[in-house]
Amino acid sequence: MQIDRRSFIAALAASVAGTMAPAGFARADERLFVSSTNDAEGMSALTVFSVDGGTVFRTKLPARGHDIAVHPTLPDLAVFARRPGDWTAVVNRRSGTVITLIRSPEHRHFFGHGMYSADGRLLYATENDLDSGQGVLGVYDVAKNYARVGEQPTHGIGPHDTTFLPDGKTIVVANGGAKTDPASGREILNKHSMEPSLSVFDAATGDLRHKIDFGSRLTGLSMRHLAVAPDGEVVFASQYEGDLDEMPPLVGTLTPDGKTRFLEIPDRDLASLNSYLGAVQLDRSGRLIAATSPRGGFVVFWDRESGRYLGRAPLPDVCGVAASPEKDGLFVVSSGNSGVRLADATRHDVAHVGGSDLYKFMWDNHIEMI
Amino acid sequence: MKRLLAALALIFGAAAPLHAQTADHPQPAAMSDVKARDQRAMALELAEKFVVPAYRDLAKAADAQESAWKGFCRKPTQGAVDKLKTAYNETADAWAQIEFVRYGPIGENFRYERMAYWPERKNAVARSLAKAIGEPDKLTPERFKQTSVAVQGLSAMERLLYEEGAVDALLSGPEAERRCEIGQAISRSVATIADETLEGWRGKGGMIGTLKTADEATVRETVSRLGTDLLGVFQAIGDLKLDAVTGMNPSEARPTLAETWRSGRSARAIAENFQGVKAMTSVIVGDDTEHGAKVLAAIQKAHDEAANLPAPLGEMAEDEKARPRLTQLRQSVRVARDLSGAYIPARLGIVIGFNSLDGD
Repeated sequence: MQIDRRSFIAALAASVAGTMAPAGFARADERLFVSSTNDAEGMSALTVFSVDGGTVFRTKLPARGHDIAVHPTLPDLAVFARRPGDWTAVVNRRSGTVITLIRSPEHRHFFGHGMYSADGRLLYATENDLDSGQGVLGVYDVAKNYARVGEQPTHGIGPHDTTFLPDGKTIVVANGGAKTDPASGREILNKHSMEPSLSVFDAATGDLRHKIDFGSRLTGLSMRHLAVAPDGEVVFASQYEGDLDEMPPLVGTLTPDGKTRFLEIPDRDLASLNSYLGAVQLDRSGRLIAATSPRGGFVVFWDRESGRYLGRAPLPDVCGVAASPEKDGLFVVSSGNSGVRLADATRHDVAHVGGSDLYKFMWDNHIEMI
Repeated sequence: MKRLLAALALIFGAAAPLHAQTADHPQPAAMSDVKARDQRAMALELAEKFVVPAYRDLAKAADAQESAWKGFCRKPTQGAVDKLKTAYNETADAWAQIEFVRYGPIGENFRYERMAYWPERKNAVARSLAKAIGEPDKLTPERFKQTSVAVQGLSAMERLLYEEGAVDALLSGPEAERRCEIGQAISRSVATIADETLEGWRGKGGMIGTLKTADEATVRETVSRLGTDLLGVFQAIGDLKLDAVTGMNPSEARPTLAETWRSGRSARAIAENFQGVKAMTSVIVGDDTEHGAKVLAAIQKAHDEAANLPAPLGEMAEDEKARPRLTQLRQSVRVARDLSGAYIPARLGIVIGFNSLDGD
């Protein structure tokens, strides 16, 4: 069904739901975060909040949003539709109004993740090429009202999260390896022959630098989410779709020169993650890792430098995670039914926060700091 | 303006709402006229009328199992083995009724994982049990607690009693004495976990005492987590206990993925799960029979269908003629899930998460 783009934007722009921050909610110096949320009435929104002040605004979305890319200089926030959605909304982070709405071209749909280039000129989004079944990165020109200006292969199928390395020139993509088609919903069509991989390529030329295939050794270990450290090491978090009686490690790192290692975790802790991680982040120092398992109801922590496992903290339905700017080892985490909390990697526990209305919402998969 | 509203309706009608998007795990709309109960009263009632009685039953069964092992080790006879099996089944039944609760003391100190280790990954129970049998160190409770969680609970106990040749190995032969020690150590461990969990709820400084004076956020968290645990059981039964075993057709059936297949308890375990679900749901329903009756009837139906299966799940899954009854049970689990999913959050006044259900 063709949706009239102009009335769509008009409708969205008219639908900022909320609390436009009157002075006194968030402190002027307090950092803001953004996440997709749903409320008890089933309304999906892009929600900007502060940990102690609560909601700043909520902008209505047509359906569930997934991750959000934060523009380095402009007030633009790009919220990608949850896969297999066909829209990405660009929202003004100060006013909450919709700046524009990007629709995926024919035979493409969004996978839920993307990023801005370091200079803020381009927006990249992971997408599915429905004709070939291969993953692509759609490229959109910010200055041209986000017109689609090109695409690059992700060198794999079912790409999910993507990130630039700190050089601002090299792109890493987590190729989940699962073949899906909106015609059959979210069903994995190649359950027994998935091809998970990590690809590292040049943003300008598309030249592939490294490709790490997991399929031959670890069929079913779907690469999903990424976090990049200041030194260029990338942390990946995966989900295992294979045999129920197997239990591969889920978190590892990839160096810029293409070397991977898995991070150790005791079996009893690994078992409690139910083979599923929903998000991963590094703390503000870039040294400590937090990964979330909504299916297990735990946040798990590692020290990236030593590779040492630090422990787990319980929070049901936890998924969103972002580094807190307050101190090393502290993370803002969110849950579908327990609101927003602060998780501490060294004490491995979670604490309540001051934002009084945050518990009311069902927090979707990802949080970003803005 | 009219046109804009029409466009809005069109757009938001066309763009799938939340529950339609997750077709694999639909979240039905809440029952709109359900009256939410006071959360503190609800939390205390759930603790006192469901959680504590269930852990009390578990502790009692676990004590009996510990006694049975003491008796067996003094005098290892076939008759004593039968008593061990009875005690194991009663303990496993009691656990199955409260197994879906992960909130509270059971979630601390790896008690949940130590009580039962399932689904068994990386063959952990077999490996750790073989290791325990092979290493003749003294099994003090302190030391046993330091061993693999997989060997400390009911999953290892099942193997000790039901694995091929297990009974013979218990009664005679070079490993008999060691297997007896391990059985005793497991039975002690299970009883201790049950006691600690029970006291963690009802004892001094326990959950119930805390709930009486706790702030609203803590009370809300308790209700929310117990409610989430309750609704999670349908997914666990559907995905792990049924779908993983049945596959798409008889040749895809995986009988050894069934829970407690060695002791032939796979269907009985599901029936006991629903027994617990029913007990907890009854407390939540209270006097709201208008809505509650429907939900409870759906749970009862799923319970009855599981309880009346004529053979273990794996055996039925491999038999084309028997599979329709598993399909029927699977459907009843869905119906019970949907009705509970519409009713429980409204009645408890909580939001239920979804990240754990739909994945990305």
